[in-house]
Amino acid sequence: MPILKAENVSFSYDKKTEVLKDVSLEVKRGEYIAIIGHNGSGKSTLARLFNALIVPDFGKVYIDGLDTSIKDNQFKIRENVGVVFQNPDNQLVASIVVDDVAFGPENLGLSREEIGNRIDFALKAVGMESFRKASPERLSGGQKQRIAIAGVLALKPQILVLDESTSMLDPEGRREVLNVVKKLNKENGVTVIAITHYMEEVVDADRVIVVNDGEVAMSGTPEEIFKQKQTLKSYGLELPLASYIAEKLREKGVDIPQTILTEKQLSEALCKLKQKS
Amino acid sequence: MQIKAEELKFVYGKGSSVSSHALNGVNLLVEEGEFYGIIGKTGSGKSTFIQHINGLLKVQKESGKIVVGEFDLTDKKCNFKNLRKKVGMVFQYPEYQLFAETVFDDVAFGIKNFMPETSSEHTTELVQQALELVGLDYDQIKDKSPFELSGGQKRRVAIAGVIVTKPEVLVLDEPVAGLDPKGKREFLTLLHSLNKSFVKTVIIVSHDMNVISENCTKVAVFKDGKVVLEGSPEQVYGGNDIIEVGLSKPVTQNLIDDLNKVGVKIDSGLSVESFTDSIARVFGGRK
Repeated sequence: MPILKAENVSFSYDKKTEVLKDVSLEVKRGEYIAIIGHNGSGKSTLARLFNALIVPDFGKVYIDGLDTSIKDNQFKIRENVGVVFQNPDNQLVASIVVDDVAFGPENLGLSREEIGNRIDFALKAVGMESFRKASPERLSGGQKQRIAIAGVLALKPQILVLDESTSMLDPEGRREVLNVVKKLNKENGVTVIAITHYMEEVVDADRVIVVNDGEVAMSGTPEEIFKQKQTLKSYGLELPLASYIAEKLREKGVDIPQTILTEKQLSEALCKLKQKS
Repeated sequence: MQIKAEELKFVYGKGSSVSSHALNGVNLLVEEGEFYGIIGKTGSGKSTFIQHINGLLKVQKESGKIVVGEFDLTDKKCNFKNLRKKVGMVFQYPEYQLFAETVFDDVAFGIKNFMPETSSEHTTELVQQALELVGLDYDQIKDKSPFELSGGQKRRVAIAGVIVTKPEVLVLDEPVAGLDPKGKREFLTLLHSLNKSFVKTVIIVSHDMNVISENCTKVAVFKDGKVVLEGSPEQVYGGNDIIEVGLSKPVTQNLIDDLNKVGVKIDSGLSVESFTDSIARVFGGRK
């Protein structure tokens, strides 16, 4: 059974314009999915549907088999699907880190001991154990976002949804957050759904879903997706910078393979040319 | 207008027990016409510095000086209102600062504020010009609520609200953060076209080294409240100082470095166009 399944989902905020139109998709347990699409394509609406912040007007979303539109399921679903949003300053609720991470498990009515265990687990998972007593407003953007993730992890969710969670961070903060997320996916088996504008963050995903004007327009591995340059362009998207440079080089008659996605691959291809010549 | 900072210092919470030195003697010269990039890690003083350019932060006593065109900001008689008309400031995520009921009112706010004597006909004319300059259709958009626009459109409206008073200098903090790839490219194109209009100088703060190297004529690197590196993108990213400051290089520079290590010298600018031309020359592609 897929851990997440959307079946013919349509949604509108104002009952006039449909933000999502007949969207169907499945996510397997343990997958790392990237969702891309232009501003206003409906990506963030999807994130809200996944943890029952909103429910479909038509169609169904199932999380681990549970229908999100049934009220009695929603508490369990939100425990299971943690969402980290864009702005770290909007997500932290307490004046010290440990209280912030405790907020979720306390609301689950767990024992003191279990709450303690979950805080330890969550802070360790994001590499912030030594900041237990710190005040969130004194942390950097990357550290704040890691605390926001810890707050979500303390609920032991099976799915982690990142809604442009790195877009307000500096490069170092972005790296910190991505490393934590990759580790959670690889080592703890957490299913990750990352919504992003950074094509460089997409190249490591198991699968990429392209959303355009409220519909799933493409789905495939990063290689499959970025091969279709013209189609991507028509959706307002672009290639990762390394692929873009490779493309330009091919246009100018330089012999570079079509499969380049990363800077490292491009560098190797260029250095190989030197050996040939 | 030239912008010149000399030994500029700034302390937050001056005199209190929690004071922190944000600027420790900044020396910087931005000539008219530049597309100037400011980079540095979080907390290096970039934002504190740019807030001095239009006098949002006042120069503290015995803390150096900053002169913007004819405005000496350390002078008690400095007319800050006129200065702010000449130096437009666009903060991070400016779309969150839209507030009026219609796009027209939002953009017109700057005129009411800086040029209250402007007639309503002339106001309409200026608003129309500003919206068209940022690539929006005046008739289509003027009566809309700013909140029903897309992210990229909102940001354009926010810029229109700043350029409506025709500033000569435009300072933008992280102008393309949060935009999708197409929005980003279009927005940078817009900044270049503004740079050729009445806006003579554009200054951007960014964490994205590829955006900086592709677009800027000059770059200043901030560290611990000082400018530690300054020059063309090729000068700033060419050596290893930039790594020691804790920043990274743009992709094109990394590729040039990698090729250099295997004995291929690439003499090229850092823009993708210049880089790919040079590679094509070296490896026998078409010109």
